[in-house]
Amino acid sequence: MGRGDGPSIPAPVNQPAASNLAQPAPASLRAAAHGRQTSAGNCLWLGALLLVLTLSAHAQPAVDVFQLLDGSTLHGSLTAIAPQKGIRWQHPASAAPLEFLPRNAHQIRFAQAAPPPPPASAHPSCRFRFTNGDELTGHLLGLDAGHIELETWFAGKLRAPRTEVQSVAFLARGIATLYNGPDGLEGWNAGPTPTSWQFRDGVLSGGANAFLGRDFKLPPQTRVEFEVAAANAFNLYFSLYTDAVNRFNFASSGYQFNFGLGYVNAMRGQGNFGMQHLGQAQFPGFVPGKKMHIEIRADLNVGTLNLFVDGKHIQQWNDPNALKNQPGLDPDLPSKVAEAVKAGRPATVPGTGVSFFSLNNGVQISGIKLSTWDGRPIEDDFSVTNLTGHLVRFANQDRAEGQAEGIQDGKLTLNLPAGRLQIPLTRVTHIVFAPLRPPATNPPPGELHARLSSGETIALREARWDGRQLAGASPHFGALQFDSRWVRHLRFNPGREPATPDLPFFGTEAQQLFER
Amino acid sequence: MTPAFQPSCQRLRGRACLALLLVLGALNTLAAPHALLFRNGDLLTGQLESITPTNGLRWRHADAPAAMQFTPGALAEVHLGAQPAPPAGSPNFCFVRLTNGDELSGNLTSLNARELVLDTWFAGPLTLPRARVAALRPAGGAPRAIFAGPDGMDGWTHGKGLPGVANAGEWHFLNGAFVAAQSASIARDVKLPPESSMEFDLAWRGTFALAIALYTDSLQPVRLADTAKEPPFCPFYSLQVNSYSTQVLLVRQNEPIRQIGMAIIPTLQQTNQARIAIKSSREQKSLTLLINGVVAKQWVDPEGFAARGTGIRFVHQGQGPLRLANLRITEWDGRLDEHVAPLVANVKDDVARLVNRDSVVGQVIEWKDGKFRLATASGPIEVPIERIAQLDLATDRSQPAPLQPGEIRAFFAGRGSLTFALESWTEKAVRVNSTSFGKAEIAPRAFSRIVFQPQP
Repeated sequence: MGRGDGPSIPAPVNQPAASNLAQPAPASLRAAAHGRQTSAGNCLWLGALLLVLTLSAHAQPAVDVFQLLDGSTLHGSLTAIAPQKGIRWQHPASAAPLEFLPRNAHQIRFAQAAPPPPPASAHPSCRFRFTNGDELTGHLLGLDAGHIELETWFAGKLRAPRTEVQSVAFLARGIATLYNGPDGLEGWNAGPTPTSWQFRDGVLSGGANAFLGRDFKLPPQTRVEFEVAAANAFNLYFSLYTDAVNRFNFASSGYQFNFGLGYVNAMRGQGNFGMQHLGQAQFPGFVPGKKMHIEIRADLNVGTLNLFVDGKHIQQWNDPNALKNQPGLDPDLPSKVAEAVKAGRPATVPGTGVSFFSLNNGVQISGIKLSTWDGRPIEDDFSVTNLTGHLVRFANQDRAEGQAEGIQDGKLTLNLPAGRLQIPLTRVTHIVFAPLRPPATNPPPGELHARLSSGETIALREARWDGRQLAGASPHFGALQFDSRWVRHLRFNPGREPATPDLPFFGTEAQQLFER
Repeated sequence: MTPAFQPSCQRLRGRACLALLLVLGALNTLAAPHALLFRNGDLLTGQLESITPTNGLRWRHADAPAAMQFTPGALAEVHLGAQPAPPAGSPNFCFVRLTNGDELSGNLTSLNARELVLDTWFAGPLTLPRARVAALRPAGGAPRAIFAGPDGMDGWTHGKGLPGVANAGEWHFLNGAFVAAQSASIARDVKLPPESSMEFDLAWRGTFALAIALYTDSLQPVRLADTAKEPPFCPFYSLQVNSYSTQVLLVRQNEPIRQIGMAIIPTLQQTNQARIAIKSSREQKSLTLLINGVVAKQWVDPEGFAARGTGIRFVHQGQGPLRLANLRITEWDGRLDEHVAPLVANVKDDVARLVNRDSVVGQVIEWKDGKFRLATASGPIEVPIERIAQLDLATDRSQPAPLQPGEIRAFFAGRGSLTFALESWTEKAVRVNSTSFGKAEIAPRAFSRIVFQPQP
């Protein structure tokens, strides 16, 4: 066991794997089973509650999904992962768990993942990237020439060789996830009919004219991400900071992004005063059925909206009127008319919701994530090349290259040719460490990547899953284990992509048209 | 199979047939992965091991150390991969439709007032009560095959990108099929005869649009908007089909495009695959499009069959992935009117539909020496099997065969299906119990698909 046993996990695995394999808990019972074993309560009422939960859970279909690289897809629940036995999967059509060797497994997607527990979900102050692709958030406890020490919400204190660290980003006010889903339609305003949207396996599938809206009380600085795929025709309106979350409305306030086949139009809604076209941008070719990752970083404090498609920056639009009280006012209006308009309507601000509106059927939306953002650039570490030292970016947009010798007492010790500096961390936004070797392109065979509910990704070898905890050996943290309820996704054989399923050869409505 | 109706020599023939299928099957076993589709939409590749009442369905997967067992109630279908097509060379080879919608094929051995004996290619002789037979259709001998494939790109010509066509792509050969996701053209001079039948399986995602050039001499796509600027080509028909409609255009150089007619096809919006058949007749000046065996539209060119080439061209119109497989081109005898309409109760007469489109109404007394003997109002007549297009039997004494609980439906390679209570399915034999002919043993390789809990 390494240094990863944090306070969030009160007890190590206290049952042998074989015992757990014999009596697995269904995925839908992940939370209930864990609660039973960790609380160790003996109260009768708790037992009764668990019985009720168990019965009700048995009555519900399992909804976790296991996919193999050959295109096979099985719903059910994960009962165990063991290095020797492989993956044990409980399928509703089989009395006994199915066993698969992990050599051709692709992924397991859990329908639900528990969010970080409240005390630990305090805004992390740093984002850590490691050379193997791991990405964690948490608090930096210390850094010197040999090691980095950090505190995470899921595994407590972790310590790793400094050489394994690729970068550390300092988050001004921390980040908070406002939404991470979808886990269903609950909380959304969906229409125009009850069947306009269908939810399955983390994907919302919309028919023609399908609308989906929700008020998230967005702050002025927001990062929005989602994945979208479409069968063929693609005409999707995504509204941000909208005040129309119950139905699509061209006469709404906020920003509208109209996505089409390889283009996007950005517009500023001005209530009853129509739309102001902010501009158009092109993005790489649309491929039917293939997911595109859309990201919009909006900073209304400075009036910028930046669009990224599949990680590539596409366009920045500027709206100097972003946070003015009457954003819908046309600046070109004659002054007398403008005054009359001001007098005739109350002050309005953009809304605080988001909405999707698809004109065509066959659109699929998944991976919706909304988070607060500090407005600082989120720069790709890999864009930094030919570093001879460590690159330090500062809050005032300056940058310096030197040797980041350590962090202690809230200060960075940076050795520059001009001398050694002690810099308060409040002035530092980003440290990119010079790579000692090229980043690994092919993960080692047998490695498993776990993604947690808050987005962290951790690589594990010799992974074990017993229904309560996921354990394994991290390349840099050593032995590691954490609560399995927090795991949203497991990726096996990350260096290999699944075979593209042949085009439909089944004539049933169950045929899945899209990759999932 | 009812033992009383199975002479020993027929048993031997049946076993020989089974042995042949087993040999053919063994050759194909490793090459054809199976696929198991669950009722909840799950999919699992692998190999079907067995189905029995006690153990359910047992399935093997290359990454699973042990065979898996599944409850049949949770299963939707098993796809058994490509199977060898049945032999159909005999002039007595017939397709026999039963009152429950099943269709069996084999050589007609006898027919009388009580029963029909069919020497099947999959289980030897089967004796069917006449009351369970709805219709009989002689295959008419195997039509001359023009092309069967695709089995690669050899012999096909890729189209060059047309000016102004964005995202030009190519057809690719993948898993025994042509696949394209963007605008693409592929063509071949298959030497189409004047009367031809072309059939293929088409699958797509979302919506699709495909143009099929018939009787063309150009292996390159032709811009319909400006034919004058194209290299010289002879007239051809462009049969265009998409998710919503179909139309036929006559394309001639330096002349306006002439639309022969169009039709709406609502069914294609509700599925993502179809069996497409195009029957062309220079003599009848017609093109006929069938979708899943049903005539979707027939076009007759009032000015005569104007196309002059002998080639075909498939042009993906740029709207999403398309898969084209099992392309079969044969000569065509001009017979189109296969009646598969629902049975009408209490029809007292048998109806023999002849190849020349005449009909004979009466009672089929027997089939003997290659001829049907019918009792008609004008007296008995004999009709050679070659002249019969389809024989619809009277329904006043027919026995319906409602679907029994637990029955499954298995589809034969090529065409036809059988609904039965399954006694066991192993790698060696399928033991069935049919309400039409009793128990029988069938080689598993005879089937291409199993449907659990079939619809009536």
